[in-house]
Amino acid sequence: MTQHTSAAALNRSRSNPQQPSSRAWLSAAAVGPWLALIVMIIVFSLLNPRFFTIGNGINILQQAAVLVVLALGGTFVILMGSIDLSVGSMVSLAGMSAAMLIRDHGEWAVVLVPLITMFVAAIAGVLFAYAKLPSFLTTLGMLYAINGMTLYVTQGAAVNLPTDLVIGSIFNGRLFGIPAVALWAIGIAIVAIFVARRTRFGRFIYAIGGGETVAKLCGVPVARYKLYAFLVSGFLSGVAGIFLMLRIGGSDPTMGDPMLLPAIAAVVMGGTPLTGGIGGPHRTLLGVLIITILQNGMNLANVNPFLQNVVLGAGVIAAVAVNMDRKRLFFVK
Amino acid sequence: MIGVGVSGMARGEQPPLLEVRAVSKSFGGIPALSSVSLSLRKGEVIGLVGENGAGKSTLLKTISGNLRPDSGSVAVNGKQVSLRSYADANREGIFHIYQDLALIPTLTVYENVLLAHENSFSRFGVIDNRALRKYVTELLVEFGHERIDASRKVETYDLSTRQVIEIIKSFALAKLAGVESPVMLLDEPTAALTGDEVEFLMRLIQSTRQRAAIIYVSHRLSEVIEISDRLYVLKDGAMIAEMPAAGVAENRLHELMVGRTRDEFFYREHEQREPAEKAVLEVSGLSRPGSFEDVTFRVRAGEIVGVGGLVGSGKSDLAKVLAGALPDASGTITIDGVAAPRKLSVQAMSDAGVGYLPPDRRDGVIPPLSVTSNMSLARLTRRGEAVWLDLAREKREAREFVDTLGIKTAGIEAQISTLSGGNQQKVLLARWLLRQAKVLILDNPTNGVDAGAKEDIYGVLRQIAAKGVGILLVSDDLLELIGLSNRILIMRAGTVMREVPAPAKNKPGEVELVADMV
Repeated sequence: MTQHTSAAALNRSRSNPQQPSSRAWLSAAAVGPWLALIVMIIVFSLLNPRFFTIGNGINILQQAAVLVVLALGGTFVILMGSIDLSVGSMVSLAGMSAAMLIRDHGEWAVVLVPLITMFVAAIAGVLFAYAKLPSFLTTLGMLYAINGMTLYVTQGAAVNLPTDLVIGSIFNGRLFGIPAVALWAIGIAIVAIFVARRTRFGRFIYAIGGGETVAKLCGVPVARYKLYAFLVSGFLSGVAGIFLMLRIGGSDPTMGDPMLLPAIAAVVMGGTPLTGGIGGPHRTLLGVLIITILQNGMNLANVNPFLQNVVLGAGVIAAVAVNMDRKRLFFVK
Repeated sequence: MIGVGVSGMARGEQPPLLEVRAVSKSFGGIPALSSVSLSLRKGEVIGLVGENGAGKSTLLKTISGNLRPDSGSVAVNGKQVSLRSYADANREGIFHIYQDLALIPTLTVYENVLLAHENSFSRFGVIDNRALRKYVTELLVEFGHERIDASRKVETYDLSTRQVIEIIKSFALAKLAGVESPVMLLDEPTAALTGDEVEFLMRLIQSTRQRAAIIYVSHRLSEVIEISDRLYVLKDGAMIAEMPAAGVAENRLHELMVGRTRDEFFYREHEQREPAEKAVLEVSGLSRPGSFEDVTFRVRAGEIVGVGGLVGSGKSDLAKVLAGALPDASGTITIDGVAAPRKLSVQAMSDAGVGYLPPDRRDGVIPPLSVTSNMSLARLTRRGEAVWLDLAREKREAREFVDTLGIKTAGIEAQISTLSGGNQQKVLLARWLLRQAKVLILDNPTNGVDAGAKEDIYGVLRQIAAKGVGILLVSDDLLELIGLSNRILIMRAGTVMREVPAPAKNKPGEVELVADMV
């Protein structure tokens, strides 16, 4: 019992070496995306002088808008340490519903679209949160079911839109030269960041991702908040679907499907690991920028579109390697 | 102790099958084993006893290659061996049989027995399953367990049969490694067994001992004395006694195992107060099938009530039930005069004013979140709490508790994982004080923290009690129970055996408590 003081001193000196290592890990995840962004901008500017121009900047914003909205929804699910693989097919569903509603009921019927996608997300959410099915398989199944449903309803055909839509100008118009759709996306991002940081919902989502058992033992209604996160994801995929439909000027029953990988990649590349608990919507903005600039820059540099996918895939793996907290790997197996 | 081996060799006999020579091991500067020696001959069963935390598991893990000693050595058959992994230990014929059996339930008996050793039965990478099955079946017959079907899945057998399979597995792997007599480390083998199954295990050990050497670890002293030839007693990481088992009284072992001096200042016994008359927690006839039965007690405002008992006595489950984290309990719980709902939940119990610290800190802290966010988490679950966060309030409250509880942190926004264990624990206490808990249920609150941090936490607990919060302290540390508690409940096999008063000037002794636990 005489070693109290020495043990206390020991404890102090022991806790110190821990800090640099956790800081080093933090910095790799925090600085990595910025570094990637800067390197890409320099490289692409050198490869093609048209890259670093105002015109192309506006292009990038426009291209990024749909992905931002979709990835923000996915962020909340990934923050919990879960995953939503159905976001791409939800965009297709939303685009199809939007186009058909506009065609049959007038353009303001489009407000129903996020409600439809929220309803579909609720199915996945209930299966995941209350029936305790793993999110990976639940949403993988939903991906197929939603895909099939969209194709069935449209019989695989595209739905075209009239060109004189009022909402078309809301999304495609410009304000001070900036595409309106980008401003909408920025607005949604600000709300998402606020929700993550300043609301109880946001805090509980971080807590569930950081330690579900702990959250339960603190009295957090874990299942309910898991469902909420899916509803948010569903709502935002609906909005993203409307945006994409307006950009394309119609809907194709599979138009959102290729967005699944970029959406998840944007979240992970931004710095929200699949294990959840850290990162958040503000990081996802960064991830979306990286992916959009990567795609845009490779287009301008005339990289073969098939090879672009190889680069994108490699980028995702690199981001996961940097971000993954290996101590907690058992969460995702 | 080494003398036994040397004189044995002088008489021209074999060297000891296993010899541990002056092994030391420390974790983060805190010694877990200090210069421990032990020897084991073929055909011998030795009993290893000691309190929780005395170093028994560390010693077994060192022998089985799962931990590498800082100094000292392990010798098998007189030859010093360097064990870098459990596979290394297996090759030397050493097998660790854990209390939670390491068999894969969904595989068959023979697949389990020879798991990771299929290569000896393969040709060009193709496993000869028939040869595997034959090998295992022959061994089962050899040991008189023909009734076990090598092709059946392990999950279809009960616990004691699985134990037989584990032991046969040791022999099978020893035989494969060309070792004639394996060393088997049995870690609490009877913890999950019924009386009949214990009898069965004892017979199994008797029938196999001639072909092996066994280290038997158990809290059930009567069992250890009965089965062993010799006994070793570990205390605070040191081997303090070795004796023949015949005729040893349990009482004598208790005294050896505990018998430390308690430092009154360490536990701040002078700060212990007579509690108020008002009860903040009243438990009456509380039962949970398989956990505990008919538990009745009360905790008054400002009182610290200790709960002692062995692992499996039901004390941890009792804590969990009171936290609302374990279902299916019956009986009445009253918190600050208000009856808890029949259907318990964490939400309901924390609303009623119960805070709970789980024994594993990993179930308490959310590592990536800040000190502030960790602290406010329970408060945020309170009914009527706004949807929007009041960040200014969170910070104010966090600063207040960092000051009053003396939490050492780089700042309130630092990740909680950068704090030392003791300081993390203080954040968790603050979490429940912020939730306005009237009674705190603490399960081993100083688990895995060093002496300095313990002293700190004890100070905080006294401080909390002085404010009128009732504390139920479940602990495996006897001195902590005695030093901190106003009263101590002793649990054994799911029932409260005795209530021991522990006033500041007249604390009970360890032996007195232990006598009712085992």
